[in-house]
Amino acid sequence: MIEVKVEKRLKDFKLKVSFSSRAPITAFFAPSGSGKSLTLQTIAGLIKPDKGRVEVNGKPFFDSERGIDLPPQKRKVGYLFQDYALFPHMTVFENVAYGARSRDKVYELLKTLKIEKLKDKYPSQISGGQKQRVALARALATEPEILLLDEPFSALDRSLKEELYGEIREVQEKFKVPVVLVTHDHEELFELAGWIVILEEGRSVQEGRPQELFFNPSSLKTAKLLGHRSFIEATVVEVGKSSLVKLPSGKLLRCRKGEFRPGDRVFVSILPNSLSLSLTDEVNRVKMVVRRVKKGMEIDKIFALFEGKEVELHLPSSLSPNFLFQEGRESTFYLSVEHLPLIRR
Amino acid sequence: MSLSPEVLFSIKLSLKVSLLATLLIFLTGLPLAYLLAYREFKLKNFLDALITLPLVFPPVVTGYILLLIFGKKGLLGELLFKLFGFTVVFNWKGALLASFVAAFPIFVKGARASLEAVDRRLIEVSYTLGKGRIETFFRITFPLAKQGITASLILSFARALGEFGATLMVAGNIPMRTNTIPLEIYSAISEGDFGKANLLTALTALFSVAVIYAVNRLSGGRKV
Repeated sequence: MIEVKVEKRLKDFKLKVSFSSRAPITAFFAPSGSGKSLTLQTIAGLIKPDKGRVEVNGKPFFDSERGIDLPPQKRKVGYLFQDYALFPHMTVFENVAYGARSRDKVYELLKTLKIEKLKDKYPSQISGGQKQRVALARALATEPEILLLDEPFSALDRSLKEELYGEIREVQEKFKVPVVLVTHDHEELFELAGWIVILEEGRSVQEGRPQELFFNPSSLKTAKLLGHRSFIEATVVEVGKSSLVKLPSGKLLRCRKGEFRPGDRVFVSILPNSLSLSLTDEVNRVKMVVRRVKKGMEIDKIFALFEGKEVELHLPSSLSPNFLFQEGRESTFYLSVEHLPLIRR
Repeated sequence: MSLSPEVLFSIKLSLKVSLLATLLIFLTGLPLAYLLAYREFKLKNFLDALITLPLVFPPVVTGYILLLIFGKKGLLGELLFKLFGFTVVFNWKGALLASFVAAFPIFVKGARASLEAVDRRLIEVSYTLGKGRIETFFRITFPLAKQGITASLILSFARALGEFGATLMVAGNIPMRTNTIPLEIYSAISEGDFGKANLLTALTALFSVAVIYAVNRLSGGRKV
């Protein structure tokens, strides 16, 4: 349980972030330089906001109105820096023991995180993934109220990442500690987070459950950030179980339901995975000219011309080669209504 | 070429003066270096410039200014003399003062740079792990900056040992009273006693080589 509403003015940057999450794992999602780390630092007490409130598990860490500002030492926040910031002059054991309650706790954590064998090594003698486990153990040793992870996987390779996703989830469940992590990786976001906060240029622009957020981005910018690729301008004609919109050519398209009224100007986001194989009620039938096909290991990417714009559609490679998707050919595509969200213009 | 009483005296006095100056520099310079490295306060730049002055002034000028301040008619000197009968002029305490002032900036600048080189995030991690400023300093900051601080301390000791110009102005060149090694060498040469000058020069050279070796070893990367 974490509630944050802070403002901080810096030399050439303004931070204005507010969110509230009950999810076990909350993710800050944003491009670099949008104030993610800064927000973590205000939660940890390393930076003092100009005004606002920070509350974790019902405990006020900071409240400008009530004059509360706990020093970092009293907040019990486990902070993992991007490159782990292990103490280079201490062994793994000494690192973990640094803030620990007891030696038993240290041994327990070394065991849980499978780093017992490394206990007498120095940080410079272990790998990136091992460093992360040590940093995690060191943070957990203080029995923190919350774990803050600043881009914890950015320096690791893919297979290691997946292993560590599982570990973070395990740690979260075992120690019942809420986790806030910063990322700009989609995979991380949808794999781990139960709640997502989107930051843009120092401001929190949207928050919500991953599914909700993904299908209802509040702006084009957010949509792009979340991985939407192709957008077509349209006007809402009719709303109901789904939304009917009019495309520039005058054609009608059935799209995902949203909080819109007839006449609203919108973008239709053609999600890459909107391709459907069969024609049912939930599907639009449209004609597009295939421009390029990019074959991949798992998916083929098809770039086709639709309403004068190039849209990107993904298809499992197992369905190719498919004569329908030959370059230069006009083909019929079935687009799933649920995968055509609308974004306000 | 035997060790005359003057030579022995100068060696003893030099060691006493420079060791004591180095100790005082360490005790007062380290807190100052910490403040300059980590805290923001008014007049920080002014303080920094003030400390640097002896590094850029000709030592004789530094000595003259010290005389203006601590001389028996000086701003502070007069008060000290009237109240406590204490003076630094023409005695070994003058040599100590001159060495202290001349070597102080070398230590403070080096120690500050060593402290600033410690990864700020390590200090912040220590805070989030529940440790206060003092414990963090002794367990994280100081151990990580130790080599640089020690190297700076050795350099400032060498500077204190070699102090000549300011010492000459404040303590004077009095045999068996204020003659440190550099002053003794100066006197020996003025008197044409090259044997004595050579002996003391050789001693100084030997010591300098030892200092360079020690500093290089300490600043040559972390062992871990």
